[in-house]
Amino acid sequence: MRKLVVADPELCYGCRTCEMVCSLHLTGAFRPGASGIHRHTLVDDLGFTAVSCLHCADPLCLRACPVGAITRDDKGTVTIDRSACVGCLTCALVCPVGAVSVVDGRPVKCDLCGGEPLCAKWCPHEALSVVDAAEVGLERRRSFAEHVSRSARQATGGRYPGGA
Amino acid sequence: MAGTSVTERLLSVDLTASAFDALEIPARLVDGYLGGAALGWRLAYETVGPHDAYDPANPVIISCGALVGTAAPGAAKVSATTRFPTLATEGGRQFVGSSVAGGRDFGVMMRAAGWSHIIITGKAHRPVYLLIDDEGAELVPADDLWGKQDADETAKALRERHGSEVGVLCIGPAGENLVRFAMAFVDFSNSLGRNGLGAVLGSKNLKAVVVRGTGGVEPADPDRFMAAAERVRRRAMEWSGRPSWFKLGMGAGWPIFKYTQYPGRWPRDVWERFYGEHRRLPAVDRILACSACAIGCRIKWRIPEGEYRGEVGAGSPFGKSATSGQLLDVTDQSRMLHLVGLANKAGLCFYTFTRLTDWLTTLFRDGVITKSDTGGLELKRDYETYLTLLDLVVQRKGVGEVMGEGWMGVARALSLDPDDYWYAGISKGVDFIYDARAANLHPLMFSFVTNPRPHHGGLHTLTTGRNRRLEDIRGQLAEWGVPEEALERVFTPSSHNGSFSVGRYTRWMEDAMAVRNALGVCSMYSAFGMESMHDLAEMYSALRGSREFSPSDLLEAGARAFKVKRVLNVRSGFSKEDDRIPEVWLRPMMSPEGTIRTMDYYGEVELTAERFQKTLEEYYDERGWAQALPRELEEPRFLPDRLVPDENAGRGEGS
Repeated sequence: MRKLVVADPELCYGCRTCEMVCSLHLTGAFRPGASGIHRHTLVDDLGFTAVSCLHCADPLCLRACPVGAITRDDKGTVTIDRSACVGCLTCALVCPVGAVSVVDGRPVKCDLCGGEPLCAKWCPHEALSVVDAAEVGLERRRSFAEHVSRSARQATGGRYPGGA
Repeated sequence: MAGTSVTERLLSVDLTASAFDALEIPARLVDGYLGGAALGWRLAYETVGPHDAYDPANPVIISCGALVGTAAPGAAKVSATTRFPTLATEGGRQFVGSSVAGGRDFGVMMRAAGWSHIIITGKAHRPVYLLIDDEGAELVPADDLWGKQDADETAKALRERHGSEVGVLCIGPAGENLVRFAMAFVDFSNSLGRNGLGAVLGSKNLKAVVVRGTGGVEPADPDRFMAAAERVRRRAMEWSGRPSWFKLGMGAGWPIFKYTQYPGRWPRDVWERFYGEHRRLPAVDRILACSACAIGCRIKWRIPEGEYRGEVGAGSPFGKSATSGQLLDVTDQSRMLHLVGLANKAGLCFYTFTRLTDWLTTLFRDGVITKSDTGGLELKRDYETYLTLLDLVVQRKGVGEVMGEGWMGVARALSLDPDDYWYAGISKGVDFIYDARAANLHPLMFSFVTNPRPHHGGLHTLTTGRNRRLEDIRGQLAEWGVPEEALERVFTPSSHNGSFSVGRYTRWMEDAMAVRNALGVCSMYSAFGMESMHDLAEMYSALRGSREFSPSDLLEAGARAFKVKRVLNVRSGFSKEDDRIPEVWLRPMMSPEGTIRTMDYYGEVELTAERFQKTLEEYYDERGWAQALPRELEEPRFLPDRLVPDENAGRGEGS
């Protein structure tokens, strides 16, 4: 039952609340740079989204960590054991989506708050949702399917393309 | 390396010497003024001298609210305090004040870089921008931006250079060319507006301030802090206006706005047809929120039709388009959105520009001024002329040279009287956003007169809304910790004010505003009853951990800050006599829907000059300044000599 936090760029208003509550959880301070989730500004078009660890099935960070400080539990959550971490930052270098940030020379990433991510709970604009990895794309698939069938119906006067 | 304390630190920047200094503000002073703009005023007390706004010795103090950079809902406000270049009177006096703006990044990043206040003095030898990060601060040449990039392009270029998530405060060509109503922009969509900050920064050759950092704010008691933040957030989430704000941002206020900001030229149904919600909705591309805000009032717009179709802008364009559209006889909202976009890019106050334009084009039509006054330009009341005028003002060419001097400058050059202008009124050299005849004399309206403050700047309370129940208005004041005997005074009915004393109420409302600007929280939360003074006291106490702050402790700090502000302006030559009622409020508005006169909040009593005077006297009585205005503070100076501009040294002691 691997979970991840997914952002909807249409609903992200750029407020950084996710960064505030996450960094407080991870570090005891409101510190956007030390958050496990990062609001990102699309400068050219003035839009926003948020990026956090995807808790990969085969995490490069875990494979690359030279001291075995990164583990993946039975729910699929990838975490860094701070007491074992030596701050070599290999995890940050290899992460394919840039979800590991570096604060005071140490890596910081999403730990899913032990199961109930604060970022999604606090997001005032409902841009963040916690989804089951098995269901990633399900919503989009559903809406795509509905869109296709609707437009096909309109275009063909009720007959589906390829149908009788 | 940036830390995470709640200490308020001050960065001092001398542009002339390219020198930087830093100071930790003593805890007792922070506790006394809370932070943000209130502490900014206290810093101004020691650093703002008698100089002209454009004198290099005039400091600009950028302050970040104490709760900014936390999860406190709506905590995003930064302020800029300085002597503004607005010519406030015939004699050219200039007031000291602040502009306040929200934003997504600038305040958050100031705190992350470890600074709560930045004092900028001097004048750079060439155009520069100020870059602040964990490592320190530096001045970077801005020759590639100055004279070449507007405010929008500058913000983009600096984000491309220094990171997409940095905070950017910048000016456009209007500021570079010293237009006295030039603004500074924050994070694309927010403005430090109305007073001419852009021109002060322009006079210093400072194009922008860019800030980024990796530090933050460590609350003394995180659990207590978050419990209070969650209460405010929950009220915001349950607020009944939320669904319409998520469609239109502040533009959702049209049902109230069309009454309170009615210019009286067109019938309301005509106005509705050209500027109502059905016109606004297609122009909204997305909602923009400030840092930690649970609502979101700004928008990114995209012009949906017409010759400017597809053009994009950011801010809060609908209200100003609608009012100025009616004043200028422009029925096409798309054209007004384009004009707002142009003003924003130029870093120019749209209100002042369009109202000066309304005034001069009408006077030209009526033959009061002629081509000999306008550099040969025919001031027609058409859109093409408005576009030409905007360009001339920004470039300070032709009649734009005079218009760029603002109301008093125009009046002086063309022998006109700003009191003759027919909408909203002019006070201390600035046009009001609202007209009291349409809005009624609500406290916000009145407070534009008591201090040089041509914008709400954090003043909203329940009374901004129309016809709120008296017991709710009283309840809000009681919750702030206003003493019972004061409540009795405020809510004693009178023949000059109706159900409550607007003057007495305003004193307490201003103190509450100073609290909000000190903490950096948005007054929309208080306008809609989503945040109480108790919530703010909880969050502030939990943040600082220095001692317990009650609502009345906060309010006392607000009063302290207002006293400082008044001292600064008494020193600048302003007295009670400057708090004059705009004459236009006493002239009936002859609208197609009938005659509109200035009434009290509940529409019970008509305003007269005598009644206004009584209101003003009650304001000063409630402040305790009926006999004499405060001239100095009984507080020792705390800034070391090295941080006080030379010519100002010693002024903190009231010399």
